[in-house]
This record gives sequence, structure tokens and C-alpha cells, in this order.
Amino acid sequence: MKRLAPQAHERIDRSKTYQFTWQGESYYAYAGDTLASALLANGIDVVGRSFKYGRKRGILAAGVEEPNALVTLESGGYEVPNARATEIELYDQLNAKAASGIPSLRFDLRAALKPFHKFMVAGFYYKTFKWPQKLWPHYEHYLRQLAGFSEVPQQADAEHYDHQYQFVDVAVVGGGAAGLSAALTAAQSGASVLVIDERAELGGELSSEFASSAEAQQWFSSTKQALEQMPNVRILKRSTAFALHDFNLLLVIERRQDHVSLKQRNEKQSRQRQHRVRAKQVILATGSHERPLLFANNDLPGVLMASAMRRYLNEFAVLCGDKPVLAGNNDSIYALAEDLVKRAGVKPVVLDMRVGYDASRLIAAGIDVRQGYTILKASGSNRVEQVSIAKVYYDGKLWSASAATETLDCDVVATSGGFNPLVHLDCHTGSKPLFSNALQAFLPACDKPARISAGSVNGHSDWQACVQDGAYAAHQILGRLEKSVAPTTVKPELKLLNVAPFFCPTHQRNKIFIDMQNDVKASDIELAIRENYRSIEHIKRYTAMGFGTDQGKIGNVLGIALAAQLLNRSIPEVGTTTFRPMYTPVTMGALAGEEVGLLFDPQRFTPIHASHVARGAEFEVVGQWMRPWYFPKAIEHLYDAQSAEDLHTAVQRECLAVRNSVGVMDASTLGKIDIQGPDVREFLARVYTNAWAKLAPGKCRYGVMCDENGMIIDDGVTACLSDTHFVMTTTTGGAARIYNHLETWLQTEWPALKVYLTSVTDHWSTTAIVGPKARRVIEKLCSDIDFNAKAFPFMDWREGTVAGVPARVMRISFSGELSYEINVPANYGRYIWEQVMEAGKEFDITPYGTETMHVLRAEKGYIIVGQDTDGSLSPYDANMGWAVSLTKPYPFLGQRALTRSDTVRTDRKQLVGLLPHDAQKVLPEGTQLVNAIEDKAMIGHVTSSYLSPILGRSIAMAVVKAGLSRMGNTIYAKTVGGETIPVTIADSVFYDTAKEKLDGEV
Amino acid sequence: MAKFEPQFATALEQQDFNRLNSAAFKVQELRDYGYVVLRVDANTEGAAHALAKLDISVPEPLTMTGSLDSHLVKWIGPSEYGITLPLAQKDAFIKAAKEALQGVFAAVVDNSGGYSFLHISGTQRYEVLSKLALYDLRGQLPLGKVVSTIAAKSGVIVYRVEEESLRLMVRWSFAQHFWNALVKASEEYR
Repeated sequence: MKRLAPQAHERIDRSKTYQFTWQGESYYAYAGDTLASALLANGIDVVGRSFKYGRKRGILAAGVEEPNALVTLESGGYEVPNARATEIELYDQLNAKAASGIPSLRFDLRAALKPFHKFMVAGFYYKTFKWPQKLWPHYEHYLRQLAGFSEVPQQADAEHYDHQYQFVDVAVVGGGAAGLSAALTAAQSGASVLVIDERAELGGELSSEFASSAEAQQWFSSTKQALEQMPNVRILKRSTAFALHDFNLLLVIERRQDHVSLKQRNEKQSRQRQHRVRAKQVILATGSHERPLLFANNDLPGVLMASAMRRYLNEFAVLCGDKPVLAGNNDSIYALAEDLVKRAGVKPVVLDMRVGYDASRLIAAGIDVRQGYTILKASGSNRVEQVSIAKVYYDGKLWSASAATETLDCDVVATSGGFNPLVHLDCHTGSKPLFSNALQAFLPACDKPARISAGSVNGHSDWQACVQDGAYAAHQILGRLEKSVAPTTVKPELKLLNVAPFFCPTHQRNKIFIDMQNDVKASDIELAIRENYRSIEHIKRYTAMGFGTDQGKIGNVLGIALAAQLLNRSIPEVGTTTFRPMYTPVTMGALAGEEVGLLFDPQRFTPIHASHVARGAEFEVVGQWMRPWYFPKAIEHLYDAQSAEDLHTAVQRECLAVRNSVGVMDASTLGKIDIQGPDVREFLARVYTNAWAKLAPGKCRYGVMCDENGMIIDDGVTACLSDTHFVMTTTTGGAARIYNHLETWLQTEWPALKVYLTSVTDHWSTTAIVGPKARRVIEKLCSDIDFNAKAFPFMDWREGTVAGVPARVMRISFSGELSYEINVPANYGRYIWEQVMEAGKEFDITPYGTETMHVLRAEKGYIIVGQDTDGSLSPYDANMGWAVSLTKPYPFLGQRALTRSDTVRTDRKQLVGLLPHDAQKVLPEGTQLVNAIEDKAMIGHVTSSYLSPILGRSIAMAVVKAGLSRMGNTIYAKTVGGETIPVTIADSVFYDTAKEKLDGEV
Repeated sequence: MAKFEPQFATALEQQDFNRLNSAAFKVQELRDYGYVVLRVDANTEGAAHALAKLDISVPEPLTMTGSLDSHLVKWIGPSEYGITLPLAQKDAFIKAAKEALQGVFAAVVDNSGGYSFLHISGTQRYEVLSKLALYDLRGQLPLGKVVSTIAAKSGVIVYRVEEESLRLMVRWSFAQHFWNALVKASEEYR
């Protein structure tokens, strides 16, 4: 292998030399090289070890289909596992190592087990390691160490990724002859066009023609220039369309910085971007991949695809060997032979399975052309050194090879066994490719709306036909887009490469590799069929053919053809396996985009958030909201040392402050729905279990909401503003769900009800002043409301001016204490909070968070929907029969379900209180409950559990089978840790059962 | 009783807007607008008369009528209109609307505090927003159009009243998250 003198159309820039490191050693290559071409130019044969047998592997291809040359690129935060050397654009100081080799590329333990390889056939692991069953974890441990390629990077990714949504009239996948032609035709009509190409430069396989066709070069240059100048055209290079979903959602990964040296990467730019393209029409000009011929030891380094050898020669000026043998079953092999003679002065031996191709020009040039021959076996140590060839005959159905073989010396073998059109994207939405006997290839069906294929994916083999086919395809779709269309071009005739039918030598099939990445051999396919696997999907799974990062791009069609032969069926009868996204591997980062870290899930903030931060609050996430969890105070220690209160201490202090003096809480997160219309009372009566007909303006009422099954789904307080205007509050986490629930019923079942719903959750900010001294605080801020307990009783609301801001003040309570909730527009939320803090200073007003709120409400037995309920608790189960009215003229949602036999069972789990016998023992929430110490049958579980500071003991709420009729019984809580704790079933109202505290200090 | 001086705040006023203040991408938060939700079916009895009295011309789907100087009426959904208007005129408008719609099946709801009102401009505005928004804002949002869509996992209302900019409303509680997303998405243009 060597670098040739400068070639006319090479892609490399010899003025820029890059140093790179491979396997710890330093090498040099040029800008424009891929890692693969750079390795080849440096004479490196072995780039990997095979998956199962640890066989030496070299570079087989020049593009995304490469199965062998998987590398680990860079290290630390820049480490990229399983990158294909053929796709890595070389940059200065690049550092790569082979992705395989146990323990090293030079010596692989698996290769040392060669005598055992004959036993390691398809199904070997299934059959061997199932006995004895108990040893499987040990087997698995070792087998996993042997499996896979690159190790998973250990450090967090140092780079970032993003997404971009694109909308175009026409998306053209592929920037080769057909794609560019289609794009130009489409763009000339005025349509917006997006061209997507996976290579660094446009041109695709057309680039390989430049060296031999000035016309091709000229057409390409003028077309590219025209496209680049059109404002309605966007070209995405280094971009792979990896999925095509319904309604033409095309997913594309653009490698924005992978080609830039680490030092020069722009931190502000994403490394890769996922484009989510909505295209009105998609043109699939995806091209095709060559497939190799099959013969024993076809995986030796130095055996590669003819098209790859041609690309390395023409684009990178790399000659892959001085003594080439070219073998093929179609016309394309001769183009490589001609190029080798012209560019490198090398005369290959050409083996053509067929007879009849006019090779007189090559023969005249002194090239050894042997028609009716193919390779049966290759041999060599580190790379191919010899091939055994034989004459072959085709009887109209099958090939057979002569027993007489001849040996040729060589240092490189390039083969072409036909071409596989890249039908993947077309198949992602369920289309099945169609097999063409004339082309010996599966072609895209393109039977889904708004898409068309063009170029070599349709089987065209010459660039002129691809250009014509691209233009033709564009005309077809422009008609659908109702764009002005130039005179219709004619669909080009297929120029066949005369691909011969499939052939797999019968000799040494255990050395013929179908899928190189997974070490699937022809003998494995034979075995699978012998073991009665018939469907290609089953054969695939039994042998692992088509697994891995290359997804069988090279091997699958060969495997299908061999299976067809063995099953005595036609190839279309066997069919293909399922093509699923992704077409090529996509980094996890590109899938996530910027939606990581803080941007992973929206954090919602109340208008008062900055005040909480300033007071050192700890936060917890409640339904995306960042709610203050508790407000730890600083604790002074000796020598000026400071620490903060822990949760327990802070909550203890906050609870007692509320019970004994006054606290303040940010209640802005509760869902708020403005409900207006003449039928609002009727609407509320239907969605809540209790009655709403007589609630007077100025009053509030607590309501329980059930689903159709009579199970609690939400609760909250609703205020009556007028006979036709109410404001409902919902749980924080349930706001959006309940709004949708209400709208759904209103729009689909009760459209006759005249009611409008408007979410006003964000409009209102709510500050709750809670505790015996609450009245004294609010009276300092508001003079136009009479806060006297009789004038403004519990469950009333008033309109007034608080600290100069128009407000709705509600006297509702989630703690059993006197409580005023001040509602103001969000713009004044923080201001009001600070005014309350100022006014409450003299009472040592204490801000408190959700944890204290939970303790306070549990002391009063108030439920939290979602914590004490789980979708299987009816109002009766929750001991809230008092909130159910069965006498309403129109039954509420879930009413009928409350009479179902299962719902009225007396042994349903019911919500009760629990008092641990050890008053200092706090039961872990979720702890299971049993009747007797030795019982294993669970009768319920703990839903809420706290140490109550005011009661000086632990309390809990729980659901217990028939719990409401078992007051005073002792049952047992069995913790995960194995502890058994006796508890007494009690009423769930633990504190102020006489409700004496509701009016606060009088 | 102490003398109070209420302080008006917006959702993003704690943010450093100099970070998003380049020719490529500029974001301003507008403090002086109110937002009123009007729920009414234009065919409801009495609605036409009331709306005429309020000088409201009901917009067709996805369009707007009026102007930001008095009241810009945006179609949000069937029978739902979002009215953006100068904050100073908001209370008077609500009062007038409630009076005019007395007896008509309708709802007038002040939602001014519910949103952050953003003005987005700059040569790269569409590039930045296309990283976050599912909707084709560049191609499908001509002058006079309004859409409710998702951007950065937040519900937003986007509309255009000027050639070189977009107006975007995001809920108060999501505004900080949306801001963070804008900062990240525009990083490469700063």
C-alpha cells in the first residue's frame, strides 16, 4: 500500500500534513484523508479483530458500510466508541485505537482459541451455557467481557448537541449525481430544497468518475455552483438521514465539528445536530453499496470492495496493493482495472465469473483477463498473499466450480458481487423492497405518499442515467407540489451491469464470512436452516446476521441469497429482514440534543422564587414546579463556624411556628381554573362529588373529584365569585391533567352546558399566612376587609386591597389553623410576600415549605391526592363520605360506579390513621402492613408518615383493608429492613379534633 | 396602616438581557402589556352587538385583528381569543367588556400575570427559534398570523406584527426555563 504521486482529482490537500496517532504510534497523512485512507497510506493492514473468533481484519469498504474498521476515537470527554475509520475525517493530532482486540490488536485471546472455533457455531452460546442453570451468572460475566467492540466511555461528554426543526418543500437525500440533479430541477421551480449528503463533499460516487470523465467533472462543478447560489437551497454536508418516518419526518444527523481538531473546536457550537425535517416531498437518491464476492477467508486484510479500492485510488491517491486481483460478477470491475492501469501503472489480474464481456481494450493493454473464473479461497497471514481460483459454470439455476484450481500471488483482492440499493429509508415506514432479477438487487418500492427514488438506488449504473433519473424524479414531485414544471424529462433506460446470479462456493463454508462484523459464516446459515429455521427473520436472530453497528449493510443480501439457495426458494420468496431506524449509529447526545441537565425537563418557578432563594430555601420538584421544601436556618457554632439546619430540625421548627404563632407559605403552584357561564353550578355538581347548587357568592367549598370509576383523581377548593363565575383550585401536579379532563367532558359529553374554562394558574400568585396570629399579620396590610372571625368566617373569600394591590383573600386552610390565602396577579407576587414577611416580623413569621405543609395536613388527616390515594380509592374508602351527595338531579362523574359490587365491598382498603406503639418510631412511607407478626399477607400500606412536633409523637396515614371498622386494633408494619413495628389503627385526624383552632387568636 | 408602594415585576426581570442583545439575536421582555382572555362564540345571541361596542372584530382562525396600540385580538381556538393591550388600558377594557357582554354567554378573564411577553429580533432569530420550536416560524408565520405551539417543551403563543421581529408569549412559570433554552440555543451567535 502506498501513496501515489498527485492525482488530477484527488480530495487530499498535500499542502497540509496532519500528525495522527494510531494504537499509540505516530503517523502522518494529509488533510482530506479519512482515517481509513490514512491508515492504508501508512501501510497498516490489520485494523481490528473480529467479534467472535478474534480474526484479523482490515479495511473492507470506504464508507458507512464498513464492518471491520471500528475504532475508539480520542479519550476522556471526547471519547467516541465504535467510530468507523472510513467515516472519520482526519484532523491534526487525531488519536485513535482499534475498538477490538482482547487484550490487544496484536494478540487476541479469542484467536488463540482457534482449535475450538469449529465448535463455536451459530447457537453455540444458547446450547452450551444453559447447564447448569445456576452457573449462568458466571458464564454471563465472562461472556460479556468477550463481547462487543469499544468500551463505553467513562467520562461525561465534553461537547454538546442540539436539534433543529427544518421545513422544506423537497428534501433530497443524497448529494450524488441523481440527488444533485433532482435538487437543481426542484430548486429551479422555486421550491425550497434541502440537500442532505453524508460525505464531506458533494458528489457521492460520481466523484470516482472525475478521473476518467471530464464531462462528469464539469457537470458536477456547474450543478454544485448553481445550487450553492440559489437562496432556496440549503445543503447539509456531513449529514446522514438516519430515519424516515410517517408524513415525511426525516431525521438527519449533521456532524458539525467531528472533522475539526479538538483544539480548534468551537465550544459555542454543537458537535452534532439532529435535524428534524418535515418535507412535503422526499427524493431518495441514496445510492447503493457494493457487495463482495464470497470465498473462503474472504475476511483477510487486503480483501476489499472494488468500489472502495477505486475510491482510495482516485480520491485519496492510495494504492491498496501492487499485485491486485480483481474479481467480480458484473461489468463494474473493469472500470477499476482501467483506473489502476492509468493512475498507478499497475496491471491487475481480472477474474470475471461471466463470459462475454468485451474486455479487448484491457487485454490489449496487457492485462490478464480471465472470464468464467472466480476466487474460491484466499490465504495469507497478516494480509492476503494468494488466491485459489477456479473456472465456474452456470447451468441456468446454480453455479458450480471446477475441481481444478490455480493459485495466484497477490497483495490485494478487490471484488464486486453486485450492488445493494440503499432502500433503508424507504423501508422505515413499512415498505417492502422488491427484488429485481435483472439487477440481482432489492429495489425500493417507494409506495408511500410524497416520496420518490432516483439514481443508482433505482438500479442505474452510469452517471448520465442517474442525472436524468434525478431530474425525472424531481419533475414527478413538482407536479404534486403544483410548482411550474419544465417540459417533462424522460425516464432513463436502465443500463444493466449484467450482475450474475449469486454464488457461494461449497468448499470451506466455515471460512466464508457473510457478516464480518458478527462473524456469521456461510456454514452458520446452513446450520440454522438445518435446524429448521425457515423465516429469514429467525435465521437472522439465530445467527446474529445483520446485528451490530453496520446492520448487515454488506452481508444481509448475501445471507438472504444463500438462505434462498439452501431453502430452494427464490430470493423474493425469502424476502428481507426488517429495516428499522437508525440507518447508521447515532450518538446518544444527538438524540438528546440540548435537552439535558437543566433543560431536560422544564422547571417551573413561582413569582416568589427569588425570595425563597434569598432565604436559603431547599427545593423539591412537584409536578415540574420548584417548590420550597424547607427553609433551613443557619446554626452558629464555636469559632464562627456555621452550618444549616437539617430537614428534621427545620420542619420541627416550622411546624411549631405555624401551630403556635404564624407561618407563611407560597401556594402559587396550585392549579387555578376560571369557570364562567350560566351552567357553572351544574358543571361543578357533575365533576365534584358534593353539591354546588347553593354555594353563595363570597363562599368557598372543598370538593372531591372522581373519575368514571368513582375513584378520587383530584381535590381542591372552589370559590364562588358570582352565580355564573367560580374559580377552582386543583392539586399542583394535577393542574394540566384536570383541566384537560374537564375540557374533555365539556366538549365531548356535555357540549350543551354553557361553561367556559380558562387556566389562570400562572396569573395568580398566592401567599398563605397561616397560624393563630395570621389575622394580626394581615390586618397590618389590608384595611378594606373586616377580618373579624364572624365577619369573615372560615371558607369565605373577600375582595380587597392588600399592601396596595387588589387581591382576593380566601380564608381556607390546609393545616387546621387560621389561614388567609392572598391571591394577587403574578406581577405583585413577590412584593406581597415580602410585605407579609415585613408585617410578620414582630410575630417572628416563619416561612415554611412543602415538608412542613405535609406534616401539618397529616396532623389534621387531610389527604394529598396522589400520595394517600393511588387511583383505587373512592371517597368512601378515604372516609370522605361527607363530601358525597347522592341526591343531585344529575349524577356526578363516578357516582354510578360507587354502587358497583367491588366498590361497595366492605373489605376494601380504607384510609385510616396509624399510631406506632413506639411514639418515636416513624414508619417508612410505603411500608406494608400485616395483621399478625408472623403474617405475610399484606392488608395495606403506609401512605404518609411523619414525626408530629405538636403531638410529640409519630403519626401515619395508611390504607388498610376494612380499616375504618377496625379502629383501635393493633396491626404490624413490616419494613424493608426486616423490622416489625406494632401500630394501632386510629382516626386519621390526630390534632385539634374539635376544630378549636380554626379561628386563631381572637 | 403603612403607606404601600406596590412593586410591579415581570417573570424575567431578574435576567441579564445583555446576554441576548446582539444584532444576530435580541430578546426584550415587554412590561407594558396586559392580556385578557375572551371566551365567546361570535354567533351567540348578543355577541355581535357587544363585540361591535368593544370595537372588536373577531379574527379568522390563526389570525389577528386590531393593533397593540388599542387591543390586538388573537385567535387562540374556537371561541377563544387572546387580547393583548396596553397594561394601562387593561382594567378599563375588562370593565367595558364585562358590561358589554352582560347577559351574553361569554367570559372575560384577566390573564396578564400569566405570561412573559417577549419581543424577539435579530438576523438569526429563526435559526435560534428553529432549535426550540416545532412550528415552521420562518415559513408559516407571515405578518398578521398567530399560532399556539410548543417551544423548548413550553406552551407558547407566537405572532407577528412587524416585519423584522416576532412576539412570543410564554407562561410565567415556564419563562425562566424558556429563557435558559434561548440562551443556550443562541450561544453560537454571540
